[in-house]
Amino acid sequence: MSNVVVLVLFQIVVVIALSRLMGLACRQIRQPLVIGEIIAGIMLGPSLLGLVAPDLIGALFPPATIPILNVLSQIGLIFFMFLIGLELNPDYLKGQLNLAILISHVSIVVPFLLGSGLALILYPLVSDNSVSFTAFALFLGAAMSITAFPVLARIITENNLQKTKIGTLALTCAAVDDVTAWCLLALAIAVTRTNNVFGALPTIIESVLYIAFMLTAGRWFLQKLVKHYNRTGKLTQLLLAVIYLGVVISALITEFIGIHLIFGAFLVGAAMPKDPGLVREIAEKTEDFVLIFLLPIFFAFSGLRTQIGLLNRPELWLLSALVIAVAIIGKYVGTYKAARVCGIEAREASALGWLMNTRGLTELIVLNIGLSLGVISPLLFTMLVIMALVTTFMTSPLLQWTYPQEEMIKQDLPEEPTKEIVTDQFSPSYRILVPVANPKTQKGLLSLALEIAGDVPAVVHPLSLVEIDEESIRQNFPDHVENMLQERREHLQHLAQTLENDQANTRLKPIVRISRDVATDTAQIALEDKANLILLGWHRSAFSDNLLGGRVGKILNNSQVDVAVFIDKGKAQHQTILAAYASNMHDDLGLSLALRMLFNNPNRYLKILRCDQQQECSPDLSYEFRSMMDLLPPQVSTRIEIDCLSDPDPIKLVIDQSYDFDLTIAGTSSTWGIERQTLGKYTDALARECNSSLLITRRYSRVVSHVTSLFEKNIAINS
Amino acid sequence: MTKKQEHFLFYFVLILGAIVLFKGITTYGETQLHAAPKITGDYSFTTSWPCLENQRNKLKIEQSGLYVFGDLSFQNPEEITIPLSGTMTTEVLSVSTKESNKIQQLLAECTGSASQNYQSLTLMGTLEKNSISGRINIDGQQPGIDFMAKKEESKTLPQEGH
Repeated sequence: MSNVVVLVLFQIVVVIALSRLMGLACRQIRQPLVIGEIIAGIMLGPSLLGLVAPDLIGALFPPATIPILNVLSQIGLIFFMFLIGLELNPDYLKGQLNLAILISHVSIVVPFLLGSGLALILYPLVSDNSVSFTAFALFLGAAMSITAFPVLARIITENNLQKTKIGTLALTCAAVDDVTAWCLLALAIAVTRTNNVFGALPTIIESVLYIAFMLTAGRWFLQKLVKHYNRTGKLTQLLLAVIYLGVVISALITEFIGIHLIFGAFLVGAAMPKDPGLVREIAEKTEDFVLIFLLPIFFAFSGLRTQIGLLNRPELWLLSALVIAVAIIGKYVGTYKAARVCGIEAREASALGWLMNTRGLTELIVLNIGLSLGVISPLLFTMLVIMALVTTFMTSPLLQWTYPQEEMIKQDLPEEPTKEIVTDQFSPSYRILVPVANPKTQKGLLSLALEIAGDVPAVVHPLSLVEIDEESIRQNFPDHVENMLQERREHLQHLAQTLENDQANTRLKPIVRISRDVATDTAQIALEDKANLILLGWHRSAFSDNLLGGRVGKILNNSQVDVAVFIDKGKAQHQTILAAYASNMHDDLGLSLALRMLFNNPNRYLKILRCDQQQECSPDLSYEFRSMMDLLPPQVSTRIEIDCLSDPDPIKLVIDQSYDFDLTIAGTSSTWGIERQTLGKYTDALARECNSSLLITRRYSRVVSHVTSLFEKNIAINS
Repeated sequence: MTKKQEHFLFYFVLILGAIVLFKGITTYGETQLHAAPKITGDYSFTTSWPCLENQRNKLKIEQSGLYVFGDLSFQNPEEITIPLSGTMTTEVLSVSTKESNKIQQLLAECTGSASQNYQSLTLMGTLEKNSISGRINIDGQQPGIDFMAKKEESKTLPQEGH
């Protein structure tokens, strides 16, 4: 095997590994994966590796391997553009089309003209006389007016905006922007190659004819393929081979016409009839290899051409700042003003302005074409790459600033009953938030939540947070996301129907939404929902031996609400309860929940077990609890037994006692070996060996009472 | 006026306005603005410095408009590459480096003194057809040494085949 092949394979290993690593880092700071991939590419180039280890970059990326990387990255781009075209569903253009076309065209024209104006400053400084001013201005204008459709779709779904007016409008605008910007780029390429507008006319005419051909004859042929697919019911390798061949041939045709390879590939995707099954199968079979393997090579190739070291004078950094400012202002002002003229309220118009500033990968494609054609210089290329990074990076925080996450959550929360309805109720709502990872396995968890909550107006919110695959183009598009959310809603509905509780349907109010970080979002939703309790199902963390580690641990750490973790041992009902009590606030919470369950079912029985490791044992409860016990109505207090036992090993004692009970409740204290972050041999002895189901409680606030409302209700009934 | 006509009028004004403005900008740019002459490429580099006279020396220039970046490579007998950066104004090239250790390495053989502490090397040249000629100055010492850089024909194919 030749050395070049070995070296290229080694380069691919380094590129993919670093891309993944930087992608993970970006995810931690809530940024799109594409930012991490662009940064990884830049790190491998002369801007970082070349600076700190010039010999290493020479050895790792010798000139002989660069053409191979270029070919691989071009193949990646062709199929990426095909996927983008494939996901360009005409449905996005329904509804608010007139509004979207108007806003998107103004949002292209304004930055385009500002970019052309900027060319007046930049052309004498960073271009040479082999490039015509018209081509330079066209390219700079196109670079300024780009919006990255796939990255925007990702940001919209991640912020749960897909069903909002602003989300659908932004997506339609981006789709229109995408098509317009590609046309603009094709024009810029044609003008660059002939160096004047009139010379480009034949290319423009040929391009228009080819587009018309693809949307008529091409589409007719693709429809035949769809019919064949529907008849056979599967995407055979032969059919896929025909489609891939079509993509490559179309790419070659547009290259020969004089625009660029990527347009032909994009056209095949766009012309493909949007049969859901076929589109899904093509995307699934294509995107993993393209996005995981080929696209990072494109980023590395771009990174090798990005030389931040060229910005070695203060005036060059000032020029970079000017480029960034023009790009942001042009896109923001254009979008904002157009949206305001169309009657969209100021805050939504502002959010739209920030969203349309996302440039990401699409910008990088345009810039690489410009650099290859020689129309933009290496220095301007570097400035524009920095601009693409800044504008993509800023979108999420600025969107969050304009449209805070808390408000998005509020939109997803079930509607509150009106005041008229609640005035005749005895207590304000008691709310339990139940994160449901897998609706198929968490029947016991929801049953327990209903047992704790009791009658209306107490409610249980099953919370299903859907994490989408960041790399998938398909999964980031709102129609697909909406399908996933609908699927989850149906699962939860089905789960509610299977519960042996008459009121399950009325008391279960599901919340289903997209999440980037399940633990943080759960804590945030609990706060917004004013939940009294988060009830979690327990599962062992894949990477931690700690009982309360992993995601459960993260929720415990982040939540500003009382939390209970349920370890289900499969008891259908919880009629007998054992509350292990060691006089701390977490056990107090456990006892409160046990009392709620007692209030809610007249057949339940509770044993409070006080354990003392010394010889003498006094069944002391805290002052608050003694007062509360005194207030308990006889029909409840007669079902409570308080016991105190002396035992040097309280955990073993509880395990032994749990044999006779359906449910054992214990606070997160060292007494029970379940103190948070405990790393000892006792850490999950109780969870492992407990003979009944186990509920571990952790109190956040001493102020929140879980039983007051029930006392009030009881007093009201008796009076 | 119907809604459709309003839209039509709006787009007509928008597109016409954009074309007129763009035309105005490009007309001004094409007639009034002048970019620096293109000098990007590889040059064979000769000097009147006796110790470097018979070497296969190279000057590689990468240009971004007025801003010029380059590498000057000497076979002495091992290859020494000195990175350069500077500007190109009205056909006058001025590039320099402050990498003193590289300058020292290069000149040690010429001056016979390894201990001399050189700080900077500057190339000032005038662009002629396919060549640049001028003087090299070490630490600004006059009159400097003559050099001539002749552009080599590009052997590599364009990257994307156009």
